[in-house]
Amino acid sequence: MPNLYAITGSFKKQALDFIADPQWIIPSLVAPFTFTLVTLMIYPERDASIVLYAVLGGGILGMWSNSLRASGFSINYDRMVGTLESLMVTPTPLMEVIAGRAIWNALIGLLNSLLVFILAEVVFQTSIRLADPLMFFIALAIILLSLSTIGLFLAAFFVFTRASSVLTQILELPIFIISGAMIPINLMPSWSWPLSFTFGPFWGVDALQIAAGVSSTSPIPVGYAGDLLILFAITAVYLTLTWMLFKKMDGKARESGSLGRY
Amino acid sequence: MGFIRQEVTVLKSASGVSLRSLFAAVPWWLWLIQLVTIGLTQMIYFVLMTSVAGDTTMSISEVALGNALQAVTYSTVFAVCSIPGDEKHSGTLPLVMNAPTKLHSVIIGKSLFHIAAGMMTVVISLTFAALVFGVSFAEVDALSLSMVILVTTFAMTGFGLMLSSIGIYMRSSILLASFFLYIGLIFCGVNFPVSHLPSFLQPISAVLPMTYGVHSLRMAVEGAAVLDIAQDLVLMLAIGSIMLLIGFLMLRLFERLARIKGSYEMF
Amino acid sequence: MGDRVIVAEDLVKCYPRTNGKSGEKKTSKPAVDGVSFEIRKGQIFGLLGPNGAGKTTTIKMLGTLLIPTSGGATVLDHDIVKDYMEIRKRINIISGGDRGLYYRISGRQNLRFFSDLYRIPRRLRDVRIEELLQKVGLEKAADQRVEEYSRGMKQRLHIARGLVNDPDILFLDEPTIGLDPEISREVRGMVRDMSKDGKTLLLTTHNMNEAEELCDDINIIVGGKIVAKGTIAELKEAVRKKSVIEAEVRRMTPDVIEAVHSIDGVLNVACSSDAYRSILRIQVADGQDMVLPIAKRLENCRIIRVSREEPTLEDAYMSMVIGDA
Repeated sequence: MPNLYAITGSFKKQALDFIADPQWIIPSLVAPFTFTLVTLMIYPERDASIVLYAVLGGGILGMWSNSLRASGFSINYDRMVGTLESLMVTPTPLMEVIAGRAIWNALIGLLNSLLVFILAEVVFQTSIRLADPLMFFIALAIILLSLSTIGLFLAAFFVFTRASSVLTQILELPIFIISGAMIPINLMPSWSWPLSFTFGPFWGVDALQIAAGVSSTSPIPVGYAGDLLILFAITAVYLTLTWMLFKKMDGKARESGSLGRY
Repeated sequence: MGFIRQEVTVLKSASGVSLRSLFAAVPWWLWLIQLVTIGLTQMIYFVLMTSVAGDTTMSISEVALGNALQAVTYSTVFAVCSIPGDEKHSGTLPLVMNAPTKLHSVIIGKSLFHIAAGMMTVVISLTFAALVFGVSFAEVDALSLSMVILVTTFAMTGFGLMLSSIGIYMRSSILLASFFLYIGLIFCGVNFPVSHLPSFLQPISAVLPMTYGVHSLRMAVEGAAVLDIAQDLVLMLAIGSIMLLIGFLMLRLFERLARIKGSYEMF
Repeated sequence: MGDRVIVAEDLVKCYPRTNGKSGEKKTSKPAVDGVSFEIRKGQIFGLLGPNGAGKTTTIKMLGTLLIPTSGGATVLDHDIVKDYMEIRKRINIISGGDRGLYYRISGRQNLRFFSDLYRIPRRLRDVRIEELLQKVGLEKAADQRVEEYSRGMKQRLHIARGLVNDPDILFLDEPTIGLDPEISREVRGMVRDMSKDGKTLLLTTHNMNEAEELCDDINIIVGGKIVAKGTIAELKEAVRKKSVIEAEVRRMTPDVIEAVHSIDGVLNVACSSDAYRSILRIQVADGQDMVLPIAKRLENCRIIRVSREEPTLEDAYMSMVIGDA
């Protein structure tokens, strides 16, 4: 049974850190908001469907950017401030501690969606209606968990590589593009489609669009339930890989003792 | 003469230290990939968005060129602005401030490498735009293009140095620098014309050097001679010089404030 | 188990290293090389040694953060490699130094977070944190951000963090390093209180006064090997025959130390000086016969006194660490 105290405790701690350190506003708010805004401005006409696309895309970009940057840096942050060994000496597996943070990081990325929504309503005066709000929020919650898992994976993965900052730069926009959240993937070259299909949130985005009332643009239309089923399956694979990576990291740390140094 | 020699020694030593500490942390090729990917992924994304959006006022070529020049911002504004923060982080800022040398000499010395890197990024990004998005350089006026890159880099460095002086005092000047990384995308006509902005926001575009840089770059690529873009170049030089002056004055002020508040040790 | 709560048997740790150029995997020479000892319940056990001797590596192995290359150990009857999760519930590690706390949040928030990692029910957690804050004297600063804490306050918070799970065993890795004498004394008082509360403590230090004041049993580790073990009295006894002569002089020059060191039978010379005088502590093989030859070599200085002293733990330590024993 996972330590729920640890997961909620680290979720809260991450929230406190977020409030205490204004730097996190950059990946979670400033960057995704700018990109979404510029994307909207590129369009000569901004009708309701384009704005809805931007609100959804902005949310996915916010969650993804923050998972990549804040969650990806999570374990390295503990190495930097020297708290990693204090975490590792507790009976809670490190993965559970980081999980709480990863969920917060993905959640706070949604702020961007909210900002774009407000902008759309107030500045562009475009009224947005969701076709099925319940289905929409269910899909959103599952995407959030999927992106949290990816953040968790990246946290461990970035410990193993010196190229973490480069990878962060390289991955941010291309992964967002293949998610189909801003650019329908049927407009992308077909060689890029398999990349989209293996990226869980791509299916979540399709489910979100269906629930919001935007027609699906997926080259493989499987419907709302089908989308969520595939998203679940891919997230389960991510979770298994993440668990294996954390196990490898724990073993390496106890073998070499080098994890505490930064 | 003695003063000049002393300043040159400080500049050389500061740039050497900055170079050595950078490449002790990351191998040069990794650093280079990181530097160019920021600009290139942005270019790819916005070019794609422009083509998806369909009937836009800007061509793919214009967007690619705008993003190529905007790539200079990371080195000249973000990296230069990070200098005091990095010094604080490694605990060396009080030592630097304690030395009988002017702090601005050390910061400028440490910036030199980033300035060179910024210009290199633009050249790489322009090459990428030509190879991947078919931007044509057939008509280009090479002298105008070189002048645009040089003057834009100078003006943006002025911005970076001004912001870096705030970093002596403020805890997170990097936050401010990040705003400038993104502000260019919105206000400077990189991806859509300045005229699409609400009119109350357009004056902001007028004081940002990148607005003139992007405009003159597109003209230079279409074959405009130096004289044709002289107005843009002079405006950028003027803005850059004013920023440098403000930066210099703020540095003195913030150095004093930091000594009062002890904030040079906080990051 | 009896009353033995920690049993280390022939612990060896070599760190794996990768050659930067060839990528070839190698292991370092042992950081800990065949360490064995036992610690009884309620003891304060001191592990003394110079920097790089293997103290921290030993603590990390017993604290389940490192897997030994060979040998083994049990902590509270659990194997440190296989049953590490069971051990982690009942131990904690407190390190000295500035790092190791979340500095952007308050002391209380740090303690709450670490308590959650031990599955401590919320009500018990909050009561215990209040008690701990009082115990370490941080109740007033509890809601201040850690980055605003002084060095001493951070160390007190480290101690409170180490006690959040009410551990049976505490590993204290140089807990007074870099602290001023007053705060060091406070920390030593807290260590004694923990022992009174029935906790077993393993303390590493290179501060001899601290070890002498606190520890029941001491092991001295040098180059990864235990070179001496016993109670303080036993360790002093071991160097009693190699007694100490103390000379207080004025107008001392560096060549005098050389000259004294070159006398047959002199094992070690330590010198401390101030503006007025110098004090030489000279370890010799036999104090009775050495006073005269030493005084002779000090002729050119102004001798205030030359006397034979009882060896301290520091003399015992120096003798063992330098290897002249």
